[in-house]
This record gives sequence, structure tokens and C-alpha cells, in this order.
Amino acid sequence: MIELVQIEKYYKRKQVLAIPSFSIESGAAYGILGPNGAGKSTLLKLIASIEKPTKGTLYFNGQPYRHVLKQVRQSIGYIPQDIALYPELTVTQQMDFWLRLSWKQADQNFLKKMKRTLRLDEVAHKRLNELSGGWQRKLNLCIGMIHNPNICLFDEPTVGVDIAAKEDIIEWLSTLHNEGKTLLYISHDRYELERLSDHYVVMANGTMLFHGDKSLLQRNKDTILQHDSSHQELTKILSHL
Amino acid sequence: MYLSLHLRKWKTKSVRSLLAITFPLICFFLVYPFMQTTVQDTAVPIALVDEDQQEFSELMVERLYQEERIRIQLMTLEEMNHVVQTGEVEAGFVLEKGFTESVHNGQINDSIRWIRSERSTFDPFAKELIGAELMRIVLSSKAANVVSGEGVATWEEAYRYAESFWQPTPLFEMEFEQRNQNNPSSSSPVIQISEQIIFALFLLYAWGLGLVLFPSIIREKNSGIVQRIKLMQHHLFYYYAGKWLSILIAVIVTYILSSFGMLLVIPTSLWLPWVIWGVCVLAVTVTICYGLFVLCRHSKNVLVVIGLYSLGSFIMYMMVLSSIDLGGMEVASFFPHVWFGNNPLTYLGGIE
Repeated sequence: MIELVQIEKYYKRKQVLAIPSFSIESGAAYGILGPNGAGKSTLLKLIASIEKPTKGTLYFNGQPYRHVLKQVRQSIGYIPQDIALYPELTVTQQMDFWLRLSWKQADQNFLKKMKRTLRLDEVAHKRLNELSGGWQRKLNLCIGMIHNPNICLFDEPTVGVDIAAKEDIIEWLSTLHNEGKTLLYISHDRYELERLSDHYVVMANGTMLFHGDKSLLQRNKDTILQHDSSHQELTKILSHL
Repeated sequence: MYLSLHLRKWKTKSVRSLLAITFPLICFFLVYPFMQTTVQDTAVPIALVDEDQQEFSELMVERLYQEERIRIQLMTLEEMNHVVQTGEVEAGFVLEKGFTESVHNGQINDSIRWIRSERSTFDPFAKELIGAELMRIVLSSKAANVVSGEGVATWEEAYRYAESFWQPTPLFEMEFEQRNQNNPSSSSPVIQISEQIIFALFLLYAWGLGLVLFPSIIREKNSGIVQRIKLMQHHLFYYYAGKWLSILIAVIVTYILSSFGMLLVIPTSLWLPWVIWGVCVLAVTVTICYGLFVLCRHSKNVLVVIGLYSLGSFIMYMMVLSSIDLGGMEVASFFPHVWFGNNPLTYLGGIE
């Protein structure tokens, strides 16, 4: 589906990411974990085609990204950590605006289901700057997926939200996973990772220490920790998984 | 779509948006009464001493008081000498004792004394006005002398009859006309330099407002909105075009709205060419600046440079208006305010 080959990314001569090889399986849910500065967000941005790798190539269904960029962007939904929305618009106005902007025909059933699960109808006429952090994040997530993508990339989708909003978001991600969509999401929350992921990617210092399914992670946990035990947070999450 | 988005955004901050686009107009209305006072203050101050205090000298004083272009201050000779020396008045005139009698006899030589200082500049203008009034009285008086001498009518009757020829309008008037600097052969009226400066200030404000709106791209880029649009639309052409159009509309509306105040000062036929040409200059200028800002990847430094350039443009225009030597004026052609000043629509003699 998506394949990364010999990827390197530099910011002003500083290497921030180096991935020899990584393939994303269709329908899998990848939990990406690692300390700050590990290159997790950069990895998602490369996959989302927001940024280009300095070296190496990304492939989509066997084709280099640059040849099928339009298809890539149609198939991928990227939800950034920042609230990438207009603060002056109401929830309904945001939906209308981004729907009109999207090149893909809206799937009304999908939209209805998403709005229902995330309970966005309750705040339909409120402006973004009148909403709490939890509602803003749910709307941000909804807009990022408005075109019903098959591959969903989430950069810490539940960071800084209240428990109720977090539950809504996790429930929606579970629904997507059950529908067969491919998920990649960054999280520092063990509970969230356990509930949603069937595959894991462990990153540190711009490299991928591990990628594979849950059972493989269990078998390699000690090796990963031996390799990089300098990050307390990573150690803590891994020991509980 | 982007246009309606920006309109909606402005609507949510309606008070701030309205204040931003009407600010120059509000300032104009606040300053306008003082401008009127300034115009009154521009009347040349003249000191007058009436040593005669008879019929014709009092008539002279009364008529000179009605003259808008000079401001008469009646005083004693000592006071006049003082105010002329201190420069409080441009000059002083003394209606000598026996003035009425001299005029009655048709003798006007040495009937008025003119006192001025080295600082006096505009007093010859006052001298012309006083001379004109004196001539009017003398001519009527001389005519009355001749007619009454022949016994056709009394002196008073003849004098009143002669005076009637001066009213309601004088037999002849001197008209002053400011010609178009670009097209001196055209007799069409032109606007004053001070009025051009006000238009140029409106242009500067509207341009500045455009520059204030540019950084919204930086904010939207930092918040990830631009990335999201790029993912959804595959390109950013419509985003940039929509932004450009909305900024352009904002600056043009601001300029036109501001210029409406000038209708209190100048007629529509003079106002229209400056508004149309201002809109053209503004559209080209804002488009070039916007293009530069986008091409330089939304750099704040570029914005600062453009801001300084806009101020420089206004200063350059002021220098051109002040006829300061700019080495053949070639450098001036790089500044939008100078393009604005060379309004080709005024070559056509204004728009009726």
C-alpha cells in the first residue's frame, strides 16, 4: 500500500529522520510511540505528502509519490496536532467550507456517522473560538477526514482533551479501524495504544527502533529497551504494553 | 468561496473591520473643522489706522472688513508700528487725516500710507485690494463732482448713481486660476496641492491596511490551515488568489470610502479622476507587493521592507510636490505615490 524506502529527512543539514525501509499494511492500526524529537510527526508529514524526503522515495501502490500525488492526497486524511481551522467560523460553517474545498464527493452516510459519534451536532452553531479544547480537537479530526480517506494519520489526536472527548475520539478511531481503514497515530497514552493498535512503531532520535505487530513487540521489548534506555517515557510505556 | 469566507470573517469582527476601513474618513471629519479654520487663518492679516474718521475713510474700513482674503485689524498708529515690527500683521495702512476731503476733490496722491517690514510677503496683495477700493470711491466721487458741477443732479444723487454701477457685481473682476501642472494649456480646474496630499495620505493608509492583512497567511500557515488546503485542493492557487482578491477589495473600499470626505472640499468632476486613478495605482501596488510577499515565502522581513517602502513612497511624493531636486526625478518613478501624483486623467481635463 505505502512503502518508504531509504528515507532521510534533513532540516538545515541536521538529520531528523532516517528510515531504511517501512511498509504500511492495509487495514492495520499503527500506534507510533517515542520520546519528543524522535521524528514521529515528521514521519506522518512525509506519508501525508506535506513534506518531501531529502533522500529516498515513498511509494503508493507501487508508484512513486510524485507520480500519483493526487491519488495519495485523495486517499490520505491527515489530522495535525494544531487546530487547523478558522476560529471565526461555526462548526456548520467549517464543515460546509471544507466540504466545498474537497475535491472528493462527500459521503453523506460517513459524515453523518462521524458527526454522530463525535457528537458535533450539539455544538453545530458555535464558533470554533467558543468551543473547549476537546470540541475543537474533535472538529479538527472531523474536518481532516471529511473526504472519507482510506488511510488516516493522526498526530496526537487526544492530547489535552477531557475524558468524555477522549472517549468519543477513541470510539471513532475504533469504528474506522473496524471498517478496515488504515490508521497511523502518534500517542503517549498507553491506554489508547493498547485499545486501538494492532501494530506498533517505536521511534527514537530520528530512527525506527521497531515496527511490527503486538506479539512481535512483546518478544522484542527487552531488545528495544536495551538499545535505547535513555528515554524514561518510552521505557515506561513499553514496560506496560 | 474564499471571498465569502473572508467576508464572513470580517463580519464576525464587524466593529474592528468597520473602524479599520473608515478610520481615515473619521480622521478627516475630525480634522475638517480645523481645516476650515486654517483656511480662514490664511487670510492676510493687515493693520489699518483711520486718522481721518470721516465719511469715505469709514466707508473704506467697512468695505475692507467685508473682504475675505484680508483680515483687517483697526488700531492706533503706535499699535500698528508695533505689530508690523513684530510680524503679527503683514503690513499696515494709514488713512491720513483729510482723506475724505481729498477724495471729494479727486486728489488721491499721498492719501494712504503703506507701512511694511522686511518680513512682509503678502502685503502687495492687500495693497491691490485697498487700491481697488480707493479707486472705486474716487471714481464715483469724481463722477459725482462732474455731474453736480453741471447742475444736472445733486452730488449725493450723482454719487449714489455712480455707485450703482458697481453693484451687484463690479464692472470688471480679476480672476485667479490655478492651471494643471501637467497640462498648462488646459483651462480645466485642478485640485490644490494640499488636497492632493490628503488623497496621497488615504492611499498610504489603504496600502498600509493591505500590508496589515498580508500576515494572515503566516498565521494560517503556522496553524496548519494552508497545509490542510494543500492536501484538500492539491494546490494553493485558489487560496492565494482568494486572499489577494479579498485584500484588494478591502484596500479599494477603504480608499474610496476615505475619499468621500473630499467631496466636501472639491467638486465631483475633480474628485472622480483622483479616486479612479488612486484605485488603479492601489490595485497595481498591492498586487505587486502581495506577489513579492508570496514569492518570498511569506517572510516578515519582506513585509517590513514593503512597509518602509510605502513610507518612502509618500515622502518621495512630498519631495516631488515641494520641487526638491531629485537628480532628474528618475528615482521618483519607482514610487507609487509619484505615479499617483502624475494622474493622467487630469491631462484629459477631468471627468465631467
